[in-house]
Amino acid sequence: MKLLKLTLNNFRAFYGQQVLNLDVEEGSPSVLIFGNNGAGKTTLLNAFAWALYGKFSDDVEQQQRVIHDQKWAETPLGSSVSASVELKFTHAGVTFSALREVSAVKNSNNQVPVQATLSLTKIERGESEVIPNGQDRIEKILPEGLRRFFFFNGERMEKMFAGEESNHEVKQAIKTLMDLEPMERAIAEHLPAAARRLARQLPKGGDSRLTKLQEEQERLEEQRAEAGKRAEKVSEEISSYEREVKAMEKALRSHSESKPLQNSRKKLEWQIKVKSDELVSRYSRKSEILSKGGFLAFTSGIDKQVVELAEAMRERRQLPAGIQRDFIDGLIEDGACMCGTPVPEGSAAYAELDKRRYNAGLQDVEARWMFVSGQMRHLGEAREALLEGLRQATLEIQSCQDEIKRLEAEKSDIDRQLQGVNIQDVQRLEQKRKEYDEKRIDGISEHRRLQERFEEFQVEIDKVKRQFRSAQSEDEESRRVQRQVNLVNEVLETFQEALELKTEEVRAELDAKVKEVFSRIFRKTYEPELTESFELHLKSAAGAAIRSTGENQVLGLSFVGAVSEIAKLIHQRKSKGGGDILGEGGIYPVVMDAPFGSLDLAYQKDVAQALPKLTSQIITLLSNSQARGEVMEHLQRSATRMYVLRSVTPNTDAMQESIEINNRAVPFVTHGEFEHTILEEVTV
Amino acid sequence: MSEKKTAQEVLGKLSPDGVKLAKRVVELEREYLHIRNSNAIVDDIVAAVKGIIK
Repeated sequence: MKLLKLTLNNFRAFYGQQVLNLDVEEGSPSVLIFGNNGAGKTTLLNAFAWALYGKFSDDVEQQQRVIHDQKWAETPLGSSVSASVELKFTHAGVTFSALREVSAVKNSNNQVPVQATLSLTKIERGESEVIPNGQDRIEKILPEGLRRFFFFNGERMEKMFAGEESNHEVKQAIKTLMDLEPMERAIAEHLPAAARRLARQLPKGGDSRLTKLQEEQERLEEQRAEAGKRAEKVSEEISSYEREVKAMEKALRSHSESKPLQNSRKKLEWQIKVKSDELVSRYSRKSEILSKGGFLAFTSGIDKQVVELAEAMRERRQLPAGIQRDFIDGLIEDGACMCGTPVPEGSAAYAELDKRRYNAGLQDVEARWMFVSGQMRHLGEAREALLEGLRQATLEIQSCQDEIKRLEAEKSDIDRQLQGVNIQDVQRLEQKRKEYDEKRIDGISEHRRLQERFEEFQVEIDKVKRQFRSAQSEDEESRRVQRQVNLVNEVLETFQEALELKTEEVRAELDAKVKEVFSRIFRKTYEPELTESFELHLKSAAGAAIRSTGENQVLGLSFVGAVSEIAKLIHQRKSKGGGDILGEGGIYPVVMDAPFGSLDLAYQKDVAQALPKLTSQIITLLSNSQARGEVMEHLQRSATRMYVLRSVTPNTDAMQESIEINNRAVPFVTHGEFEHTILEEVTV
Repeated sequence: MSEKKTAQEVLGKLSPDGVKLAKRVVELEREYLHIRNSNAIVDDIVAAVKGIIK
């Protein structure tokens, strides 16, 4: 998607027709728009989203006043009046024009909410065609769930990841953008429903076994869905208890008596968590030692026994002695023993030497004996090492457990102290906190149990499916339905496996990209991390970083930039690769108001440098204070177009202002007959 | 040690009929992505299956 032109007609602060050209040159992806506070930057940002989705963001006040106040005021009662926003853009080689309009008959001096209408026109090869159900088409081009990533206010950026609801929406939006949603929905709803519908078409009087299996599967699926629904509800309850606990803790921190205790408890909880994680890793280390060399513990005595047995056999000459055949051959050839005794052929000494020569010939056996006896000695050493390793691991586990016990006792003591604070409000808060925490813990156990039930049902369903798949059907009609159901199940099972892998691939790719973009802007050694559950965290060497508003803004900005870049990459791969089932992505513009939010000057410079690299088109709305010095230079370097929102005011007490662009003073605030804003293009 | 499989490799193991259906299903899901609780999509998937296995 590439934005071409935005045309406003009597839209909120903008009187008459105002045009914003948005096409940009390659390498200069920015359109910069400067305006002072109240000039209409937020309105302009909202104009994009309003044209596409017919909605304003929550921070827009008086949303019913879509038509410019002056235009409304000068319209006679009983006459009709309108306002509109037209957004021209291209997508997949086709040009579209989205015209959103409100039209009303003025019946009073105040505007009332009016439903806006949309007309979406497609312009292809010079011919235009109105698209019926245009909203539907817009949703396919840029789903509304994604608007938070592409049309946003930098000052509200830090709220992008605040709160669970917001996190859920972000997760869903990522999945939509990264093209995981189609597969997810197919797995969760539509393929199982299609398989059920097909299976119900088994002929009556056909294969009764298939019908029974199909009924059994449906029964199990219903039970699984029930367990899933219940687990979801319990999970929501757990979250709500967590919120309550947090709220109580926050309230406890607001009392001077309970504040230090609450802070100590929070610290202890964190320490308990760290130690519990350590305990888990100690246990897994012990399991690893046992799985690799646990058998050694049962070899005690075996090695000694083997050596003794072998030695006894050796003494009985049932095993070869340690004499080499070449040596005995030499004695026989010389006809004399090494002590000088003659050994003539046929003598008893000769016979004895010959016998020893035979035994000495079994060199392989001897070599193996040497090897086995050597290994026996190693076995003992390995057993010792295993026992030492296990002793060490057990000590570490014990030490972790003792530490957790100590911390829990300390925490329990603080719990008691908090209950004993002689302030009724504190006691009430602590009691409530305890109640909610207990409910939360019970909820976690129930959730685990329900998840196990869910998985048990899944195992049963898979078993029934396998039986259905391999059943030998007698009649042809049943066999056909069976093949159809099996085909749906083949796709369903493949999608399940592929989605799991794809989700991890996308997460890892996005995680790496967020880290890269973040490190371009951020100076501290903090590192962002996109978790397995698609939650964005910021980590420092000491654990989770305590995020300031500014840090949250940089994090949000990095995330948006990473999302744009990955979406573009997926799209490019898809364009090159052709017929893959996965991966759509896309090229999207970014429209942002106040990109610097409350960042200090150093970060403003870094952000100004990083912005143009985020995507191929970026519309930036800035205030006068954000457009100075080096920041302005960086921004201008990447700009194809620049606009100024000139505020016109009848208030002659207000100072007329100008903004300096390219060493030229451009009017910023001027006097006029009524309040309105004019969009003026400035030479880059 | 075995290399980790990719999603694309897993999808590559679908039977020829499986590939046809998988492509159609993803196409339909994209088509209906903005509609919640659509029954029409199930009709379309069933029709696609019947078109592949007659």
